[in-house]
Order: sequence, then C-alpha cells, then structure tokens
Amino acid sequence: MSENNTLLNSILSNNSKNWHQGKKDAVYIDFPDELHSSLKQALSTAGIHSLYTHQKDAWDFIKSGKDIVVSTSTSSGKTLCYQMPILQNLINEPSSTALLIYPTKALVQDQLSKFQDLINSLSRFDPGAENIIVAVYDGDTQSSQRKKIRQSANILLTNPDMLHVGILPHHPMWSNFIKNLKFVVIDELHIYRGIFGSHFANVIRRFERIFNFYGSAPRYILSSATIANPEEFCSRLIGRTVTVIGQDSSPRPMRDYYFINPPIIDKSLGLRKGMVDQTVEIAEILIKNNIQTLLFARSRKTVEFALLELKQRLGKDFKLEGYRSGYLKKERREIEKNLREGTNSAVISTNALELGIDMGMVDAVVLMGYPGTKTSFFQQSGRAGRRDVASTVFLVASQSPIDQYVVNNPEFLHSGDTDNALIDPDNPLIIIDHIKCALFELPFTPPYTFGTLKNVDVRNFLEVLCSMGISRKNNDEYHWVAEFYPAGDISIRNISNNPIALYTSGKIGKTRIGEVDFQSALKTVHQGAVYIHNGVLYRSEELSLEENRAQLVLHDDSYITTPLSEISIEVKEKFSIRRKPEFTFHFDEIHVIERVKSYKKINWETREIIGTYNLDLPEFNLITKGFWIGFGETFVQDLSTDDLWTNHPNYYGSSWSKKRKNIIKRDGNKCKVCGQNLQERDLHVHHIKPYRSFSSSQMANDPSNLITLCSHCHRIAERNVRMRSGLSGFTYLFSNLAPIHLMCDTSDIGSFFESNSKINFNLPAVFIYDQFPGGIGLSAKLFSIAEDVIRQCQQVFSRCSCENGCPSCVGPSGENGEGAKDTAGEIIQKLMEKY
Amino acid sequence: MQDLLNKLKNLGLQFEKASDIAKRKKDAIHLDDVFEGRWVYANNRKIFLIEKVITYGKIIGSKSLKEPKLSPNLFQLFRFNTNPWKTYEEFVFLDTETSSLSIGAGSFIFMAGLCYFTRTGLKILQLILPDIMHEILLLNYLDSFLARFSTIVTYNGKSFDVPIIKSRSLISGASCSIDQLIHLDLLHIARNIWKLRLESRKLSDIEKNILGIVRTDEEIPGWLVPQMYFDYLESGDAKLLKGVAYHNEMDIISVAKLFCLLNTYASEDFKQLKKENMLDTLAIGEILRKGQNYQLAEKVFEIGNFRWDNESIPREYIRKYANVLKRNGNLEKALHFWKIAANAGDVSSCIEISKYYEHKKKDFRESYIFGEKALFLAKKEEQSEKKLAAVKHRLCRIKTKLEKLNE
Repeated sequence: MSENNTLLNSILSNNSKNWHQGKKDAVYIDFPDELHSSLKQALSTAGIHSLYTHQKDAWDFIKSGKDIVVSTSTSSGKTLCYQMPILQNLINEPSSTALLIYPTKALVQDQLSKFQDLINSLSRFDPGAENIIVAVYDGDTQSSQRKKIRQSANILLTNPDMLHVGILPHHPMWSNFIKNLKFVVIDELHIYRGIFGSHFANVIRRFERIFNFYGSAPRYILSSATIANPEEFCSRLIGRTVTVIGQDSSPRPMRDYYFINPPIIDKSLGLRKGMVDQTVEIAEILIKNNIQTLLFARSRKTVEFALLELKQRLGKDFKLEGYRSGYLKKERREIEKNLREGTNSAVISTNALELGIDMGMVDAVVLMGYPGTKTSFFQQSGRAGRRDVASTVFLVASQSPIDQYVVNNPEFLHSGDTDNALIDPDNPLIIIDHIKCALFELPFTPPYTFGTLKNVDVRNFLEVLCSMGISRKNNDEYHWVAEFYPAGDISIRNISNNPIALYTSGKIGKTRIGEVDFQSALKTVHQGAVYIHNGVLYRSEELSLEENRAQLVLHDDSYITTPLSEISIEVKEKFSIRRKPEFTFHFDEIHVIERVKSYKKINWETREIIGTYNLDLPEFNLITKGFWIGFGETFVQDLSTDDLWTNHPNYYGSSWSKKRKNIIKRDGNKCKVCGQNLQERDLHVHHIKPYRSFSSSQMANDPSNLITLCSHCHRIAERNVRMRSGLSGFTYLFSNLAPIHLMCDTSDIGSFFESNSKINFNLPAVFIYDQFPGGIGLSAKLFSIAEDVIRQCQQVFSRCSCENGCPSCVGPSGENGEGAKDTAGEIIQKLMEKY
Repeated sequence: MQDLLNKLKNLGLQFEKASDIAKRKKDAIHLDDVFEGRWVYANNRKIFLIEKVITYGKIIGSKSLKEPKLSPNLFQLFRFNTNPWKTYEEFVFLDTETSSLSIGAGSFIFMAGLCYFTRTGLKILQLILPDIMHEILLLNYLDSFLARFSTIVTYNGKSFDVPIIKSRSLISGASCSIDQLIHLDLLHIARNIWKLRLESRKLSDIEKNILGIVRTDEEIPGWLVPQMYFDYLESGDAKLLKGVAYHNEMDIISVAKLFCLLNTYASEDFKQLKKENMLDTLAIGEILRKGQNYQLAEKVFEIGNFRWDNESIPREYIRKYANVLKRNGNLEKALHFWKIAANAGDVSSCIEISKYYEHKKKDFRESYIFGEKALFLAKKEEQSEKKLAAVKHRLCRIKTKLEKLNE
C-alpha cells in the first residue's frame, strides 16, 4: 500500500495542479405551514424532515404564481422542488395534471420510480392519493397502455421527442389531460442547447398554442445544472421571464481536485503519455486501496477500452463494471444499486451517469478528459463525496488544446463565468419545420401567434407553406391541407434532412450501421475513404448521393485517409464589426462553398503519405453565420522574416544543384515576379508548393513546381508561405478552444483561413462559423468574446513545450509547415498587444 | 414573403411543391355544375349536399336492392344483452373521405357519405366541403343529422372515421354528440366471419366476393382520394371529385348491404344459415360462443347437419363446437368431437381430452397418452416455447400422479 501511495504521490507531484474545496454545511428551514400534513408525513417517512432554503424559495415563488428555474448543484434536491407543488395541488384538485419532460428515456424511468415511491408513501397518510396515476409515455410505452394513460394519467413523464411527435399532433386525444394541466416541468434544462435546444424551444411554442387553445395556463418549473445565463437561456427556450433560484443551500462535502497532465514522452512531436494509460495507472492505485471510484469517459469506446485495461491489471479480485447506453435497463439498475451499496470497486461510465440518476456518492471520481463544459465537469465531479470524508476528483488531460488549457489553468473552472447555453429558436429553417407541425395541430387565425415571433413574420412563414401547396388560406385563416404527417419527418435531435445511410454487407446480407449528414459524408465516406465506426475500420466502396447511401467494407490495410477540400467563403450580409488598430472582428452572414477535391492515403504507423487521389464530388453550400478576423496590412508586414534562411539550409535531394541551374536557365535568368535580370548566383529557385508537402523529392522538384525569383521576391513568397503556416496553426488552436465558451462540440463549428482573402482586400482572414444552415448562435457569441479565446490561445501556446507544433497547441508539426508554431505564436502575441 | 422563401431556399429548404399539382383554372367548375344537389348555408359557411334515393328492386352492382328485414336476433351477433332496436329505420350508415389516410389533428373530413333505409328505398346523402373554411358547418350538419338515429354503422369507423369526427369537431368548435349513439363497426365481425374464406377482409374484397357488387370504371382507389381533393382545391375543378363521390357512395352502399346480409344470417333464429356457406355458419357459431351465448351457439353449429369427420371442416371449429358442448354440460358428446379434432391433429383438443381423463375419469394413463400426443403435435407445428412448456408441465404432473398410483 505504501508503495502504491508513493507511486500516486509521484504522479501527482510531477504533473499536477490541485485545489481543495472545503466543506459547506446545509442551511435548513421548516416545511411551509401550508404544506399538507399528509405530505409532510410522507416526506418524513422518506427521511426528509425539513427543506433546504432554496427548496423553500422555490415553493414560495411557485405559490405566488411565478415560473421558476432552479439552477443548483448535483444532489441539491431539485426534484423535490417540483414534486411538492405537484402533489400539494393534486391533493387539493384530484383531477389536475402535470407534465414532466426529461431529455432521455433512462432518466424518465428513474424519475418514475422516485415519484411512485413518494405517492405510495403519501397514500398511507392520505387514502385519496392512491388515485393519483403517474405514468410514462414514450416510444417504449405499449400501444395497449396508451389509451388508458391518455385518459387517466395525472402525472405524465415523457421526453421532448414524444411531445413533438406523439402528443402534440394528437392533442384532441389528450384534451382532458391538457385542460387540467397545472405544471410543466422541464428537467436537466442545460441539455437543451444547440440544435436540440433550438428545436425544443419551438416544440414549446407549439405546446403553448395547444394549451392556450384548451384554456389552461400551467406554470413552468425548470431545473438545470449551474449555467452562466439561466435567465436569458430560459427566456429564449420557453419565451417567458422566469425567476432564477440559484442560491444553493445544500451541503457540500470536502473535495480535493487534482489536474493531471500526462508526462511528455516525445518532446519534438509534443507527444504525451496516453490519457487512458495514465488514468488506468491512477485507478489501479485507488481501487487497490479500496477507494470506490467512478470513472467518466467521453465515448462508449473509451469505456470499453479502459475497462478492459483495468480488468487485465487487477484480475478478478475486484468488481469492475462499465455503464453506458446500450446496456440493458436491468443491468444498469443493478450497477446503480452496487454503486449505492458500495459493492463494486469501480464503474467506468459515459456521461449517461452524469444526469440525475440516483446512485449515491463515491469516494473518488476520475474524469478522462475535460468533458467539454464546466456544467458537465461539476455534475461529474459532484458524484464524489461521502459525508465527513474528503473525497477526491482527478481530471486526466488528453492532448486536445481544451484539455491542455484546463489542466494548466484549473482556476478557469471556478472563475466567475460558467457556461453559456446557446440556442437560436429563431433560425428560419427550424421555424419552418415547426410552423408546419403547428399548422397541422391547429389552424392559424389572426393575430398569428407563435412564441415570441412577430405576427407578421409568422404570417410570412404561413405564406411560404401556402406557396408550397401544403397550407390554404381562407378568410385570413390558414389551414393544413396535405396528406403527410409533418412531425414524423422532423427529427429534433439531428441536423440534416437528407442523411446518408451507411451499409455494410456481410454474411447476413446488408446491414445499416448508421448514418452521417450530407456534408460529413462528402468528407468521410467518399469512395476510397477509410471510416471508423464503433472502433472498427471500414473503407467506402461507393458513395451514392442519388440514393443517399454509402457502401462500406471492412478495411484491414494499414493506411487511413484524409480528405483535401477547397473552401471559399463569401459574405452575404454584414451584421457587426469591431475595429482594432491592426485587425477587425466581424460577424456576418456568410456563404461557405466547399468541394472535396481529392484525398490522401497515409500510413498510420509511419505517417508516410502513400499517394493522393482525385475525387469528383459536388460542392457543398452552406449559408450560415460566421465570425471572422481580418488582418491589416501592417499586421502582416510586422511579422518577422529574419530567420527565413538562417536556420539551416534545406536539403532538396541529391541532384538539386543541377535542377536549380536548369530552372534558372528555363526562366531566362529572370525573376518571374519582378522581371529583374540577374546573375545565376543572385537568383533563387522557389518551390511553389513547399518541398516537405510532397511524399517524394522527385515530385517536389518537378519543374512545374519550381520558379525563379530574386531574393526580395523570394522573401515575400516565403513570407506568404510562412503566413499560411502561421494562420493554419492559429486557426487550429482558436477553433479547438472556442467550444470551451460555446457549450458545443468542435464539430458544431467550421473553420477556414486564407492568406489573401478577397473579403479582406487580399489580406489574411480567419473564419469560424456555425455548421448549421442559418446558424444557431455560436459564432454570434464568439464575436463578443473573441478576446477571451485569444487570451486562452496565448496561455495554451506559451505552456506547450513542443518544438514545432503538436496536437495540443497549433496542430501537429509537418501538417502546417515549417515555422508554423513560431508564426502562430507571433500572430497570437500581436493580437493580444493590439486590443 | 418572397424574401423569406428565397432565404429558406438558400439555406437548403427542400421546396416540396410537386410539379404536377393542378393549376388554377380560369373558370372554376363548381360543385353544382358537376353534381345534382343543393347548397346548405349557415353563418357565412356553406356545404354542398347531394341527395338521392335508390328504390327497392333497382339493380346495384349486379344484384337488386331489397327492403331489409331487421332480425330480432341481430343484437346477439354484437354481444348486446337485449335487443335495442325496433326497426331498420334506426340505422344510419356512414363513411367519410378524409385529407389523409392516417389520423392526427391535421386530418380533416371533406366528404361524408350517409345512407339509411326508408319504406321506399335506400336514401343517400353526401356532404361535400367546398373549401376548408366551411368545415364547421359540415361537422355540425353531420352531427345533427346523425342524432336522428339510434345507431351508426361503419366499416372501421371505430378507429378511423369517428376519432377524426371527434377531433376535428373539437378543433373547429363544432358540436359532437356521436358518443351517445350505438356504433356497430362491421369490420370486426366481417373479419371473424370471413377469415378463412377470404385472403383480405377489406371492404372492397367483401363487396366483390361476398356481396357480388362490381364497381364501374368511375371508381378511383382509396389511396388517391386525398390527392384528388387537394387537386380540386388548387384547380377549382369539381369534376375531379366525381370519382371520389362514386367511391364514397359505393362504400356506404356496401356497408348497408353487409348489414342486410347479417340480418339475413340472423333471421329465423339463424335457421336461415342452413342455406348458407358452411364456413360462414361455423364462424357465426363461434361468434356466438365468444359472446358466451352457448345455447344458441350449439344450435347454430348443428343447423347444417354437418358431417364432422368430413375433412373440409377446419379442426378448430370442431374443437369450438366441442367446447360449446362442454359448456352446455354435455361432456360425453364433447369428448366425441374433441377426439375427431384430435385425430385431425388439433393440439388443444388433445389437451382438453387429457384434462377430461385426468379430472373426470381419474384415468391418468389415458390422460398421459393424449398429453404426449399434444406435445408431439405442438412440436411439429413449432408452437411457442411458452405453449410447449405448459404442455410439458402438464405431462410432468400426470407422470407424478401415475407414479403415485403405481407405488
């Protein structure tokens, strides 16, 4: 054991930062006087004898008729904030109803049993409570049960998808339930961001129309993990002003946080020890010391991988379990129970265990990688903490710039700003989908109300539906006149409306293994592409855009592929600009045109480029919102050029001097840019595409890639090359760090740079844009916080000890070109100086 | 609006307007240009009403229309305890044409076909919606019309027509008292009667194969109906609805004729069945058995004096007949028929016989033999694990009893 501790100490002392979070006692207050005595008794039976003050605050605001959002930490009793008023109301008015919306099915099941337990207990003190029917209505509900649930449920638990596709379009069957609706509860509110949130906000708009139609006016009780902008977020999501209850009075155990950066194992490449290896090493020590540990991984694959590793190291003496979606319900309940009762040693989970599943507390939590948002970080680490004993949280960083930022600047996590949940419910593509559904549900009559949209805008959308032939206007009334069922065609979780289906063929015939959206398909499953799905390598044999399908086969060769695309960007409409001395920040509507031209085969062991292959694919058009930085002329000129040739003379292959002479001769001893006629020794031969970007010197030194320049023109040309490398590195870092503020994935934003951008008067520009037509609020936010991201770029850059760039800072060296790291650093530095 | 449309198109909106949607005609062809009928007006709304009478004796399809005779036994086919009807004039037949073949708040009724028998003939009414804004009048008219009758008769109305009427009345604010009427949905009984005779029990198949009605080429198939109405709305050409009106009229006539056939089957205490198809008779015996009307069921099963060992009688009906005999206390006779069914390979009958020997005769050996036969047949038929387990369980139990006896 002492040996183990020494090892742990050495890991912690060498590579980690830490902070200690002290214990905080709870602040309790008596049950409100008006709470029914039977309800008080039922709660007492469950071990609850008083309330946290924030629960009492919630009660008081609800009583006074306010819509509220409870935004407090994990295990702070948020559930009780809505259970109490719902049950109190049901005791007073037995026919009243409440709708509870949870983002996942697993959560719905968990909450059903919690609610049922409380009702069972309540009916011991109030026999009338036996008649309260609490039920789940989701995709798994048997059709034989559905009618009964529609007619008799008082408390209905569902998910947003079911509300969208199963309840609202059939509202007449729900008329009794909706007429008596008193409360709408939306739990885990912070999950509804990005596209899912933008859709969900519109589902709520539809729901409002329906309950207004039936004359009911339910109160909203929302609950969320801690986010920076609950008030603003709620008002965008449900279109109302809500009262925020954020004063958390639940107890907080003592907790020690350790931030661990795995040691560097290859300095020149900046490669660090693997995150999983490092995690397994730590977990092994914890488990051997009988410290019950919960590990969080970012993907299902990592769960399985880490579980396998740990099992190999620890043998059968310890009970280790995995937890993720895909496991059976029964298995999951069993694992939750084992966690609660302390009968397993460790559980490795995806974020499936992050949401409000009741599983008690563990001694230690290990996060494999920063989970992307502060909210998730605190939800996951909040699982550590048994009463009166200090618990421990470890964050093991991966190579990604975000992880590197967090592990080196852990104070970021408890600095003032929490995450900003961003949505754009007014994206026209999303609205048109939901106006269709809304029209299907009820005709639109003046004044054409739909959430917070302007009436005239709603009318415009309806006119569009008329011109599509699916709506009809009579006497100012718009009606749905089409045969299809619009909600059935609209997925509120997906981006794309024409996804490409992925098929494999094997012994059992063709199997559909998944789908990718159209844009990604062009890059990831074009003919010849190597595609990774659930840890298995496939190669695409055919991509059929007519049939929206790709045919994959198992790939057992040792190469992977990477697409090479050409992007061009045009500005459609200018929204805002912020001028700085030598550069400008812009927020515009932009048109991104992307065409995948070819792809490279790369040996994944040696990173050697095997060859480049052309593709014939259509271009992809995306009209979206984008943030961009335009660099000014002085900014570019000031970038240093001193070291361009002084570092080391480049080696261009054995017969270089002969080739050089031939090219100069070919070009008539003239600089091909300024036309100066000079002596051979005063002329330079320049590689148009850099030498190192070729797989063989023969291809690099092909005469078509060589040109004669004078020393002055060569300097400018090299600076352009340098600028490109630097811009590429800066763009990599900036686009990888931006999501830290936007609560989104790196794949939700696109990035692009060009060293002589037409948009920026042939000067360099860097673009970051929303990867969803019309935008969902990401780049809009980025425009206002760009300085913060640049500052973080600087912090990550300056801490990175790699030589020429690595995945943790400006991207792997070799991919961006020589000097990328230095020039990127200069760009960041100058940006910092000039604002 | 054009700006918004362009914007949406640029963002990638799939513009779904089909190119073949009919163009608005310069001179609209109104409903009254095409159909004989009249307009009904109320509160700025209007609907078109077609009325006609088919007098008795007139040929429909290939057969002449006869005045129905309401059988006093009809109620027994629908599992009522007492006869709620006095005359055939209490029944109204209903079929609607809707904007979509699936249910949902956005599906509306644009044509309601109704018919009912009078002393002189079959009266037919069709309500047509000239445009969506007039919906409330159609629903109100329909509601007050239906209220004149005690019973509506439909084909699949329980899960289609009636839910749509209720849902659209709620949405448009029309009155709706349809729940107060008796509703006979003939789909269920037709399924039971003809499940062995017909591959499909769609109304059109029953019409063709049982009722002997042949539709003319005016007919348009049901799946095309919604599109025809949308085309009419778009073009203003009411001629497009001719086929739909014909389709609707034939549907309600078929429902009415099906109703007449059921009355025929039920007439004279079901004695009429003597003359009918054997399978229909057996199926009606089974319907009565399911309705726990065992005395009548026994009578119906015996009406045709069938030769029960004849191979053309499906073995499940032999078993059902035996089960009825058991219910009526005639166990020995029941055993006789179970054995016929068992010989024909009926698993359940073997089990019944096994039970009989076990409980009534305490003859465990014989009971075991039929239990084994049941297991053999069940395995041969690849019945479900659950059923196999039940048979195995039975065998085990009898085996224990046998062993005890031998000790």
